[in-house]
Amino acid sequence: MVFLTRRCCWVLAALALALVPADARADTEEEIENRLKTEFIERFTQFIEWPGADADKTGPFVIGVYGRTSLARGLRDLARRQRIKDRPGRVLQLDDPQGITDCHVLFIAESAAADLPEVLALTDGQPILTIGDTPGFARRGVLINFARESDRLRFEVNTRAVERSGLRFSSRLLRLATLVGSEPEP
Amino acid sequence: MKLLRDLSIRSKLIVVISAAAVLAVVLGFATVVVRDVTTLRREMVRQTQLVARLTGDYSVSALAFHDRQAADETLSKLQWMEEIDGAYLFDAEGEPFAAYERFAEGLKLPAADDPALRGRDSLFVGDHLFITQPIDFQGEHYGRIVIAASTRELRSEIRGALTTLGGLVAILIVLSVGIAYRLQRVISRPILELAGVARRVSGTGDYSIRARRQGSDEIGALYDAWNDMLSQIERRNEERQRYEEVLQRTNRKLERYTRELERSNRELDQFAYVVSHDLKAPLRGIINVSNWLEEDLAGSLQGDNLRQLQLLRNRTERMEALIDGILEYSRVMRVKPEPAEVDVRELLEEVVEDVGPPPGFEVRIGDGMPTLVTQRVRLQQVLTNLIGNGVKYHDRANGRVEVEVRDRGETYEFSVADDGPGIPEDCHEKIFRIFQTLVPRDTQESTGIGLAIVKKIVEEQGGKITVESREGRGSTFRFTWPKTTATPVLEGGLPFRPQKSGRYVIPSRIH
Repeated sequence: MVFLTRRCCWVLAALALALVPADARADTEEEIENRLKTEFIERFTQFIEWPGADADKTGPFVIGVYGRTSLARGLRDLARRQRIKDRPGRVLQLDDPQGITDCHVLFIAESAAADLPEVLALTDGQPILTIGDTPGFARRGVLINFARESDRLRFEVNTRAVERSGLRFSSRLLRLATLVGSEPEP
Repeated sequence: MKLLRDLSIRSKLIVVISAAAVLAVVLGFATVVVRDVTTLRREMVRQTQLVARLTGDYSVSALAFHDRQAADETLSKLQWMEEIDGAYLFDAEGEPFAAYERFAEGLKLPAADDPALRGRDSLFVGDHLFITQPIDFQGEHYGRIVIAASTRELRSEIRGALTTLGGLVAILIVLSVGIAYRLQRVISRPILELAGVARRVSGTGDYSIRARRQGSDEIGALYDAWNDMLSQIERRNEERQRYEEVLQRTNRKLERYTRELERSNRELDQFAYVVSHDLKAPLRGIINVSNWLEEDLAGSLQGDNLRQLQLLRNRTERMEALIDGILEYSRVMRVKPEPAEVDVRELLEEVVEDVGPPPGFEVRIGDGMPTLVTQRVRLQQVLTNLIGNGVKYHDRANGRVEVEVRDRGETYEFSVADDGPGIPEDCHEKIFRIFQTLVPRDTQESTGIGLAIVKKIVEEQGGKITVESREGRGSTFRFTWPKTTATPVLEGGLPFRPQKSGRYVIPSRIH
């Protein structure tokens, strides 16, 4: 009887699901992509070592979001949901370069592409993981840049920038990345 | 074990020694093989675990960033490891993520998510070893990897080990049999030699042969015991021979004595016969002369003269009776009457008539008198004597004599009983001796030979005679008589002459 009851439950659940409007049920493509990016960002932190991180274990792990992006919400959810690199996560919305250097991770939104030289000038040589999702950002000096490849989400790594940043990237991470070099500043 | 029993000592020793050696070798090699196989398997598990760990480690980022292509690339690197036939990656949710399977003809791998593999680090299934390794990184679980390694090499290694060990065991068995064959001689040779000596001794009967001892072990002791035994037998043989010689000498002496005895017996019989016979003739003359004298002088002789003449005649007649008795006694041994069928009742009636009991005297013949084949005269003599005695020595005119018979199996037992004066007990032996009579010579006509003859006849027939009597209570004579005529021979060989089966017959006839 237990078996039957369980089966009945499934049938009811399926019915209930069918009644929900289609657009509300299916996540939008953007939401799926954002969730994936959030997950990737969290995993990047696992494959990357910040210098001096051992000394400062108690403080929050700060993720800055520069510019307007729908990803910010996902990141905030992540920080609420779990610790990042074994530290409490904190997401900062930044609209000007001030406070950039307090971040461990800095996501630079496409909307802030114009400010990129200014931002990169501040982060260059600093142990700040800069991440973008705009084509060409990696070549311009952002450490990791998401790149969609058909239906897969991949990422580029600017090795020169990584070297300068002092961050230690795991070879495991680099193996999956598309490695790019910096293009000379125009 | 029963099979072993009838083998020769040599074969037994070879079997026992080589069996022990082979058993030890086989057990030893079995141990080695088992240990080697265990080690090989453990080593294979360890190696495959290492591969799984490395591959898993290499696949962490691919799992982390959902990069199936990278995972496939990583797994495909396993093609360089010939023993790895398959590798399977599962993500943290347990869903298949990437897989690699070596292409090989007829290769059939069980499903990597086989329930048998769940929760097992390592498992041998069919021809494959499955190793499951979790994939963790920085404290986070990303999934697991399953590696399927072929046991081809392991099997061939085990086969190789078994072949090598089998060959070694075969060589060792041959060697141990060879060594056993050589070693067994140490034990078997002295035994076989001893057996040879035993055969020679029993074959030739020569007890002076000795076994030559070789060592001072138990077999040496056996040799000593054997030699000692031979010496004892030899000594005993010598002793026996000596005794035999003594015995033979004694026997020869006995033979001589017997012959002499026979001769003197014969001579004695002859003498008795001749003497009585020769004595009888002049005695007859004397009797005749005295008769004539009595006739001629009848009426003229008186008083003392007449009494003396009568006395003379009485004495001469008694002397004649004595001589007749002696002749009869010697005849018992000399003459053998032919056996004939005898009706004992008829015979008894005849005897009673001969004896002529006085009127008023009763002779009763019992029932069941048999008819038998025997020497009639002898039986008649015995019965006449016994009945005659009963009548003659009775103290009353109205006495009674009873004759009975009883079947004693081989013999008949006759009894002659009277109610006469009886015989004192101390005389029971005496009466059977020659010239013994219990009454004074003068009062009754008695020679004292009768019972001696009876005894001689009965004993010559192989029977026995006894008397049962008490003074004033009558006498009963019992004697046994064979149902069939026994060979009238004194039997019994001399005891010490087993080699010769001669019987010493004391001749009982004079021809």
